[in-house]
Amino acid sequence: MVINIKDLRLRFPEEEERLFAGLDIRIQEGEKVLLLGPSGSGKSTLLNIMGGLIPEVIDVPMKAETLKISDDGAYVFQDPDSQFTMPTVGEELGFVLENKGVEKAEMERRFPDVLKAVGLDVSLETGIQSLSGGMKQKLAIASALLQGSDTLYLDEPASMLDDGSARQVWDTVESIWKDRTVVIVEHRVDYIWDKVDRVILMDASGGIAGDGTPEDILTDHLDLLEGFGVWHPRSWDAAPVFERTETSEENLLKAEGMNIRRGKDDILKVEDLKIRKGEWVTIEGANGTGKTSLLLALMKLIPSAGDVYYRGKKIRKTKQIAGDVYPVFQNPELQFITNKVFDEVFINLEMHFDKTEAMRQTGKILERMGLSHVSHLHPLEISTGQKRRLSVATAFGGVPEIIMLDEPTFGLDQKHAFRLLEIFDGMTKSGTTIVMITHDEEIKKRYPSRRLLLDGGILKEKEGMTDVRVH
Amino acid sequence: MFGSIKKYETFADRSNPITKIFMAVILFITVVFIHNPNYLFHLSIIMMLAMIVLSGVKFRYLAALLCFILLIGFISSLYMIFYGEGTTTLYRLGIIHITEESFVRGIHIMMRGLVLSFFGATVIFTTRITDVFYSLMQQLKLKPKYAYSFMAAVRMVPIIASEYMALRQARKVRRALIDKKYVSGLKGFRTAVITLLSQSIRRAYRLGIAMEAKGFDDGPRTYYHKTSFSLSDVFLILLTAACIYTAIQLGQTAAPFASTDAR
Repeated sequence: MVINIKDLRLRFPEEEERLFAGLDIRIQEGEKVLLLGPSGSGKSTLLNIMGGLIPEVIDVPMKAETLKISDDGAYVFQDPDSQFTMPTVGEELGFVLENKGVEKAEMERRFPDVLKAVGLDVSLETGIQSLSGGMKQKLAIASALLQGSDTLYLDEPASMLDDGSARQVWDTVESIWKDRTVVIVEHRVDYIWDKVDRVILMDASGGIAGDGTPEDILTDHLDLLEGFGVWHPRSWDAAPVFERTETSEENLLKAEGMNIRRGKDDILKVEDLKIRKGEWVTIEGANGTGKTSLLLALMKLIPSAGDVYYRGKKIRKTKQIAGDVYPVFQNPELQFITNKVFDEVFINLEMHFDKTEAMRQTGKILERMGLSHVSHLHPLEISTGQKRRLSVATAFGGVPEIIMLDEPTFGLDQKHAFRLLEIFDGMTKSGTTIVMITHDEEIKKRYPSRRLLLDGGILKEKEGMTDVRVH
Repeated sequence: MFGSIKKYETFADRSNPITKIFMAVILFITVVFIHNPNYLFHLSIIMMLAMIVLSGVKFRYLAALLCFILLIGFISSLYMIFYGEGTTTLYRLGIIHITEESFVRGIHIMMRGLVLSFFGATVIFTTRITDVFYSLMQQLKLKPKYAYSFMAAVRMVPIIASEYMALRQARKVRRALIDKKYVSGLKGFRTAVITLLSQSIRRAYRLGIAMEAKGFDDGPRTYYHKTSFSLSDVFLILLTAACIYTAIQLGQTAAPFASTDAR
């Protein structure tokens, strides 16, 4: 047995309730285990206890009757930008071995092997800053391998990646996990569900609600999975289905001969783009194809050749369309302005309604987004999923004509993602246009009235899509 | 850091950062004690040539930097030129009083700045920031705890810069829908700073945990990059000494200034 924890009790100093009150968990050698549960169920905390980070590195008071853990576990964390110390690939790999006191000659012998093992074909001098998110996570796995540990702890390693990169990272994990014990926390489970030996389902109060093979969990505990609102392989069976509505022929936004350059390279050309009232448009394309740049260029936030028209009027400055066209960017934190979740939505509404009405509407929006219980908190101290929902909620307040969203369902659990899709549907029906960048195949397949694809630097209409909105 | 604008490398790139910092200190002291503007005149020209040759940076970037350094140098000398004391009046307008003495003294101060700027630029163009910390740890026994913290911090700078850009874009869009008081003035500045700080602190905290999870501690360690002293360091010391010597010799034969003491 690699891990044996008995009667674990832990309480975060600032919380009133204990997170764990008598938790027992055992993990056998060589097992691949997926920890699943709603946000706040303590999955990551448990992972950090198993790997010895709590209480050694992160000081949280805890007690356990038995605490047998592997003391040489290696981690791969979620955020590619906050797990590397050094500027280049070689130095970062070197950092791991320097810590273990390995000599330089031995380091250089081992680097090519681990880079090959994770399928990372870059030179040691490559700057980490220039790697894509998926490549950074592969580098993190390579670092973990260099630590020579038999136990790997993966804390949502693919959650900040697009579908293609996520698949690659999981393939990499699978290719190296033979003979190793692997404990995974992840909420996007489609790739790994069938590959792990065991799923441990945690409930909102830090207890274990289900424990078994992936098939058992899916057959015996489907109601729990649905109730917790976590993603599982059958999530989309229960996805909302909407009636199709006719979109009007009225053109709102038009871009002609648009050309976006970065330095000397053309990154994106848009011949002729028209966005009509009440449409639900998706913008698709692999990472780095310029989807976000397109959104910024339409808002005139970055320079581009060609013209943008809104309701037939030529747009030269952001000021001219901000308000009518409202973008929600990828980093929710950077869009917050006030010190309270409530105010974040309220300041949009106070321009349109008197104070009581504005407050009532704010309350309503927050409730629909599942944010009522955190409305008194600072926007920067709520959870990642809550932040994303709040950033989207700010778009509902000002009643814009077009809402452009950069991956709005990213990192949300099933419950809130579906809720958001319902809200979008309601908005398109009342005439608001939704333009969204998304990587989610299921969303692309099910909901948009029109799909645009960015491929080879050119924006195209995606043809031959199956329209499941028709009944 | 300057990989994209560099054309070639010289021994200056291979010499130890500590030697460069040490030579910069020596040069600073030397320059402060040179009072003959003729010596400084030649020294600043030699240092400019040294920068052009040794930095290995593409010329158009060097040209831009040169203009900048000359402009700043000139502006910094103006105060002394306009208001310095002196007896031989060259020009007078209101409170501006340019005398021969004040003019020479102003130029003298400007040349001091130029010498140090040119040398400083050479050092910056030929030194990788991580090498500074590697050699501080290896040659001067700085504790790894501090050195690695700084290196990690250096990595954060471009991330913070791109976050600031994203924050500005988001505010540009949001300000159309809300009362300006939330995003303008001190209040807007304060919330922007709090957001950026909180993002950085969170990232630093996570990075700290990641570093410890990778087994980092303040104890003894091996090094992937070994820094040491080599012939390149000897070259650099000799070159700097030769520059100063040549400048003094030239200053005695070819003297553009009549004065030999700017004090």
